[in-house]
Amino acid sequence: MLLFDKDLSAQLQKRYVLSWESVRPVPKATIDFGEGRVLTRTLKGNCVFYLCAPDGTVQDILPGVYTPEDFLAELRSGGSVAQAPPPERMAMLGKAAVESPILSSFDLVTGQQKISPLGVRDISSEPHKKTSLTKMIGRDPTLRADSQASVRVLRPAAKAFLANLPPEKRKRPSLLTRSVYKEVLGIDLADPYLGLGNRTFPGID
Amino acid sequence: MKYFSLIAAFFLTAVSLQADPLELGGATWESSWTNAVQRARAENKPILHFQLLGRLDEKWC
Repeated sequence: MLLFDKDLSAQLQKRYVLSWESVRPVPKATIDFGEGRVLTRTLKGNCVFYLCAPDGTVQDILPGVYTPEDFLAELRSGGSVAQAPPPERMAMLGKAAVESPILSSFDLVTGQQKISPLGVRDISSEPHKKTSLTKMIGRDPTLRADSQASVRVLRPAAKAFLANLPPEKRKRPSLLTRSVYKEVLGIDLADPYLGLGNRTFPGID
Repeated sequence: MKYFSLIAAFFLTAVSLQADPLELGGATWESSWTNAVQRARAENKPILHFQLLGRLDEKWC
């Protein structure tokens, strides 16, 4: 995880006051092999960074995952100036390699493309196999690929979102949490199944 | 009375734990937005605020 990087953490600590909050529990897929052997994987664990003035006013938004180098470059680039939408709109590439097969096995995803209102296509919430995924994106679904997708796809969407936001909504991150997740990432935090609940779950009303 | 004292102690502990800063990668992350803004104003620094599903101190995040 990005924030375990000690060099990055030292730089962030020096320049910023760091804070965090959980927006809701993260879904988990668990296989219990018995005798204490448990395999757990989180799903839909998307995150968002907000750069704020000392009074808490939101100045920039960085959704998604990044390498330390990309993250620092994006933090320095700043700006809520909207950019033209990028030609490539696929994101969550690395997540897709792990999460898509799991979600597919539980029949929790459909063949429809998952595209947020701001045009970000979350391929981790579509049914893909790792081999077809690699073929589709033309490279290995690594953290570096995910980070580049965050820079090229999620950042322009976040800037477009922020540029259209009235000043009263920028006063603190919690005022725009649900909108950012929904408009940029295509995740409805008000939905207890995060958009994956269009199936019949045995034993659940 | 004892019952209510136990409940009060539980909630006070829960609130206190929630507001405790977390150490991650050698950096301190405020768990309270109010504390973060107070510190940012006092130190005249911008705030980097992180939102996630799950908790920052969970091993899988």
